[in-house]
Amino acid sequence: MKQKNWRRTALTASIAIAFAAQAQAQAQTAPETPQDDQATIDSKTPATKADIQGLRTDLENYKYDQSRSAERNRAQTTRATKIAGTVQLRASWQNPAQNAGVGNGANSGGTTFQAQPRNSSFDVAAVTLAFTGNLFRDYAEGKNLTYALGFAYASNQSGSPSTLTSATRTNGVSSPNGSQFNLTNAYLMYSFFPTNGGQEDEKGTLTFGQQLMPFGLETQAEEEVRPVITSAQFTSALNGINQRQIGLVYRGDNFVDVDYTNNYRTALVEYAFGVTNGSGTNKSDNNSKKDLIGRVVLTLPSDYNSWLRQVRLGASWYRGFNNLVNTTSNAVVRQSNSRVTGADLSWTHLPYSIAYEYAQAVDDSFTGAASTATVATPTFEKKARGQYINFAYTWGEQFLASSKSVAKYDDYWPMSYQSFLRIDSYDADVRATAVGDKTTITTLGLNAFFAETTKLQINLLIAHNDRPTAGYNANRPERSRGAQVQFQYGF
Amino acid sequence: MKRRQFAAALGAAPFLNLLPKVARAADGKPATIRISFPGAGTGGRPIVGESFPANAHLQRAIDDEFKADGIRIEWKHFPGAGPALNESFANGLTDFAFGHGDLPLIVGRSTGLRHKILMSASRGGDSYFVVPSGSTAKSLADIKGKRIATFKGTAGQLQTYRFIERFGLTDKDFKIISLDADSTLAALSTGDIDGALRTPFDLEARGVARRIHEILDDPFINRPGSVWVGEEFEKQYPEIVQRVVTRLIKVAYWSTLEENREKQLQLWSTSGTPYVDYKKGWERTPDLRRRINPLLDEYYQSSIQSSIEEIRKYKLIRRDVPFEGWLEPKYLNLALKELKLEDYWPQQGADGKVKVPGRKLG
Repeated sequence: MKQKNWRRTALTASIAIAFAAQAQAQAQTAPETPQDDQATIDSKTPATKADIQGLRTDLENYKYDQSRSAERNRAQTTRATKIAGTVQLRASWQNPAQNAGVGNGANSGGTTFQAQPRNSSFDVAAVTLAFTGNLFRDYAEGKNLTYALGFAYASNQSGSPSTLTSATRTNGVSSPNGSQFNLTNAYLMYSFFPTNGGQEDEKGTLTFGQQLMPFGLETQAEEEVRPVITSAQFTSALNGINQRQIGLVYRGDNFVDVDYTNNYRTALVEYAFGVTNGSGTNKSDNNSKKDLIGRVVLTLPSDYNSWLRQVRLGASWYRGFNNLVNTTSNAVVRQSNSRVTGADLSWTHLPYSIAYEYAQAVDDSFTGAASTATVATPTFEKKARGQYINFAYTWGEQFLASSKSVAKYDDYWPMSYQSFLRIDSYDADVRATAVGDKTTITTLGLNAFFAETTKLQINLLIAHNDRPTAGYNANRPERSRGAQVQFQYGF
Repeated sequence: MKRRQFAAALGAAPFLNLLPKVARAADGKPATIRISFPGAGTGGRPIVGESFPANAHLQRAIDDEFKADGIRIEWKHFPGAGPALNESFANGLTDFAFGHGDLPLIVGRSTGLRHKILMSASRGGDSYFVVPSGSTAKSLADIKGKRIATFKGTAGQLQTYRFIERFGLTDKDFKIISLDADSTLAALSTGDIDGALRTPFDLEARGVARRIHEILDDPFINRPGSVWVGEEFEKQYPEIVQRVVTRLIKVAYWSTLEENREKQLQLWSTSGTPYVDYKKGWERTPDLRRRINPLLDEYYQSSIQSSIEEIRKYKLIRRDVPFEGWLEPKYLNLALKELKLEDYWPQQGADGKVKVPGRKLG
């Protein structure tokens, strides 16, 4: 409190000195003449002691208001904290109807359906809440220790888009009302390299905790920057990379080049490698082996004005160990190997952008039914493969730093649009004998960014399924069409 | 609309005329002229001061010039300074720059930005090196190895390098961190940096910082800023360019009149920079024409050439900067002739000294 008072006194004194200095400067100017305009007369008129006293009173009033407001009306945190969040509100339609009992992507479930097939639905597709901040700020070099804490909503209600991977919460199956609010990000990050030197400095950070895996492009993309409403199929299907993991990840870059035209920074090599539990979100390790992940990205060195700006080639690798389980007894029968490899190529030169991503997972799997599996049940290497290509055209200034930060008095934000076409294919088992598990989704979309954190997304989808052995059915039609409209806002 | 038609419309949207190009009026004039400043006021307000192009904005001179034609003037102030202005121009979002510093101007030219320099925007002035008031440093040598701040990529970076070289030191002798003007102020107040090049008057009056060095009125520390137009715009609308230039010269003339000194100082202080900084910063300039001078004289040209060499020395560019054809003085010359101001401003030689004195003031 003493220090606070001292600061206030010092502030008041320094402002008074400033005005006194200004008054003195004015007093030293030439005397007023009849030809002087008002501005010149003003400049020659010294402030009186009473003027300064009046100003000091105004300042004291201002300080009182600030202090009162801070104590009574403002939320406070122990450390400087940024609070952010994202909400997605979605309307969707599809034809043929989604069959009751089959969730989005879920392939089994309960038997007591309390719904009929549906063509359309309104949903709260996602809600996230994030807290980030600095735990230790290194003033000398910017080797800071930061934290992130995030939560995401998931509906308990059957058939909700957010229950995509849950086999037990399928469309129409009785389930409790309400929702869950799960921990997503929870990590500490330390920067080993200076962060306040300038763009030309290399980066190196170690992240410990629950986090997105540095695999490919789309897996790492947070909700607010994803162009398409629904993520590429493989990102939610391949073991290890399809969810956040708990562990240590080091990310860095080397051979940095800065084009001072607009301080455009590229690093020839970016990399990330880490070790994780591999057991998924909010779970302790479920076996004695740790999973490993690595990613390398090469960016073509180029000037900002070059057409070759932002040509990036990436390779990702994940090595995991999963438990193979007898689904009747839930006993772990053995450990399996899991390897996911990926490659991606992207080019972003606004207004154009292209992204291609490929990922293949090889997982040990039982040759027979998991419900009767024993230690003697043979396994084979099941390959799953996914890939997508995305073409986008953006018009508007949404992605230009200069436009986003341009000085304005009002709540200005550059209006922007982005149209795209994505073809996304995923085959859960690439063997020729394994059918009924491959889907190709073609999405045509338009995103409208009309405020700083708000966008409207419109997606038209056509999904083609390959034919199951027993032929197409209501759960797996040959072709389905859909439309999704989503408002996403952030705060 | 049927779904297929809707899908087709969605897919065709990028190819429709929805792109943010400059809207062109039917009579061959631009619907909008986009004029950018490499800076903004305190707290990001869209105002800058301390130049005659700034006065043109503050007095709405260009707006008035084109009001009858129905041409809208879009003013852009970039807190990201010169580099942000370059980004805007590179993406086809700026037609004129009203005062671009030497470093971003030259680097942009080296990487393919095509503009025509029309006139000098500003020149001269004093430079001060300040340290936090609690610092015990008495000279730059005392803070060797410590943190000094400059806004990298802007003219201030080169200015800082030149300043410290005068004291026998180089950029390698310090940890140079990149901070914008507002952040530098805050960092000086909290002692997070050990020094910076900065106007000291307000800081000293408030007890925040104090100067340890000053270099007064040296034409080789502060290099001139530039007013330019995009090559494409210049080719398409030479008459518009002439009108902008002529109007700017009128404003430049107004800005040099002693009777308008106080008016413009007060106008400039609406940017948030304290009045006392402008007042004291300009009181050593009895003839305002010394710093408010639009000429592309020998001094201007040799300054740009010298800056190119310095930028090469500091390895901030990789390519040559073609100087040939960069300057386009015809608009300036015509404006000076029309306004009978050909002999009004003093011409400086390459050595920075007045080579041809300006017209004698009555």
